[in-house]
Amino acid sequence: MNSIPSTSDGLGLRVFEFLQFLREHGYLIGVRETTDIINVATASTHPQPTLLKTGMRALCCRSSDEWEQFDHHYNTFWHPHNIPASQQDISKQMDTRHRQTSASGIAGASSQDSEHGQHDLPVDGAGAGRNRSVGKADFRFLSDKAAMREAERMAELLGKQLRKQLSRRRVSSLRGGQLDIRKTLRRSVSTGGLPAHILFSQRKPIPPHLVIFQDVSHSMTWNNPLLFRFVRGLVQAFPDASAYAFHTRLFPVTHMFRESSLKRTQSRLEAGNQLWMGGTCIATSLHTFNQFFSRRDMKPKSTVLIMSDGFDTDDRESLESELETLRKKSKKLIWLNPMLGRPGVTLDANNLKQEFPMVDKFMPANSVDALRSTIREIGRG
Amino acid sequence: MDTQLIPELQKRFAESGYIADTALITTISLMQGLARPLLIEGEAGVGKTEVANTLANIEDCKLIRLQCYEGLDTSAAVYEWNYSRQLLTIKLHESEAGLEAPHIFGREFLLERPLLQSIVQEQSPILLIDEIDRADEAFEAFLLELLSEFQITIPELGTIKARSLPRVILTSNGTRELSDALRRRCLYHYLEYPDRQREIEIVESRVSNFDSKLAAQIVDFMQCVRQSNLSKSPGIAETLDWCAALQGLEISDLNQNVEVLYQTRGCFLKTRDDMEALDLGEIADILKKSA
Repeated sequence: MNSIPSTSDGLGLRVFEFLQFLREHGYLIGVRETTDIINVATASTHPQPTLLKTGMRALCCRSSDEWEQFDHHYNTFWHPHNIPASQQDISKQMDTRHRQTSASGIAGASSQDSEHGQHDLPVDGAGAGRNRSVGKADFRFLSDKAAMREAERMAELLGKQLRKQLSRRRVSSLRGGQLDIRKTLRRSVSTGGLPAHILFSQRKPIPPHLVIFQDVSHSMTWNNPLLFRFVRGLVQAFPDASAYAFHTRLFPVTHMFRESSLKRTQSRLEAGNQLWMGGTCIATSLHTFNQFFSRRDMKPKSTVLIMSDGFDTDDRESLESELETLRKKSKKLIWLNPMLGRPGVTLDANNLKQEFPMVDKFMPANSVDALRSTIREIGRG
Repeated sequence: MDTQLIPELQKRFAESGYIADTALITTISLMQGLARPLLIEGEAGVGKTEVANTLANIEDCKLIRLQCYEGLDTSAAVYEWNYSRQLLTIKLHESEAGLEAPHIFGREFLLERPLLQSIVQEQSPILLIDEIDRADEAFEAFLLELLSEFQITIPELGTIKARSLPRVILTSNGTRELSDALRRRCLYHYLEYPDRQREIEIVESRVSNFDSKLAAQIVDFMQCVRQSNLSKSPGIAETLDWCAALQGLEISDLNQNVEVLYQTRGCFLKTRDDMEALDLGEIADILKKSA
């Protein structure tokens, strides 16, 4: 086993440098942790490297991602010669898959969307520690199967969490809402029956009525497994929700998402609809909905979610017209674009909003955290 | 950190039936040495809660458990005034004229809930805050004062400081992201599924008179099952349940009883999807692979 320098002062200094090294890799290590670690490291005149490493890991790590990465960083710092060349740059392990496209439309175009440019991108989620957390990582660069599964699971849970949040009992508050007589009386016991502390309860949020459109064309291949789980979570959590998938045509998929078995849902979806293939006709698909399904599925309180990167072969005027129709029949129209927030993509939500004012909000959908923001937006009603 | 005590603590854990690796024991001894809370994360069923139970057992101290849930508030977690007793006291004084107005905000009127109980103990207890990820963010924020200062402020009484510092263990299944502020106050340990050897030791220590050959077979099988793409991977508790079931059915060799394995798969599979995924053929395949 390699040993750590044994002089106390030297060790303290090296540990300090190591903590600096960890901070550079995204670990949040404060003054208290630093003091504790140096105390632990210098407490014994002959520290055991294994125990010291374990102790530092417990004090430095804050999440399972940091926990997993700690060994690599520890070895990189303390035993750099023992690291295989293939592992020296962890970012090399990251998948740099990408697609090339010349399509235009609402998505705009990325200046670095070429094979060469993609390799040079600073990959969000490819760094160490906190930045590597599955929730923050861009779906497109999640190459590890376990991380993918975890991200999918988290995406599906979001809908259920929103439902749970909205179905909670009334929440007490010191101001706003209705008078909570039971709690006010209970509290007034402490003031001899005088209701000195008035308590209110906030209004129970009304679950949203969701209509979801998911782009399942070829250009969305990388994002779809996760967005698919996200939609499944929403459809299962909200019984009134309707879901549609589209590429060059629109097809209803609500009943498939309602399947209790994930495998059955996947196989039913894949059986007849040629998923993740071909081009995208967003305007045509929305037109089909507006013409045939909107009377049944739309309500004035509906929140419409469109999940698409916006690469469209239909003309822009038709898209604007269909979006306008959709907006008039709904309460809120949100467009989730996986290209938004992605490094190197020159796409801005504010610019899009100016170009398509009928869309209430353009939001990113490239990570679980981005989807979480969408959930918050839906929850606001 | 006294490194000499780590093997001793590991031995005591083993004697109590918890086979822990050195990393966990080191973290526990750091928790005791630095008086900092310990946050344990990991999949369901890997033995997070059991760490606190075992520690309380070997230290021979009180275990105070707070099970978190959505909507948990201070009156269920910290303290509540005993209103009925306060009312009775007021009534009693009303009937006896001439007495001074009663003081109804003393300690005798306070109902102590787990968090308050944990800081008023003479002997340092183990405080287990289980499944903190189920509690609301507001409650998590409330915990910060307790976890950093080991004190609780009650407006009518003032600040109650800990008589003895409780050793706090928080567990989380990761159903929601915990705040950085909470994480920063804690030591962190990620508890993974045990490796083969350790799982065999756990089975042998927890299931009495268990055949070691069968234990090895079961553990190999379970380790393979965890590699499958199940929606809920079986934990240690499931392994132990299944061992007990097979022992009860007097099974001595898995290879001879594939049909029984299939029928008893409910001991370690917990969803309909997983039950459908692991049919008789799949179980036979896994058994072959694990042999």
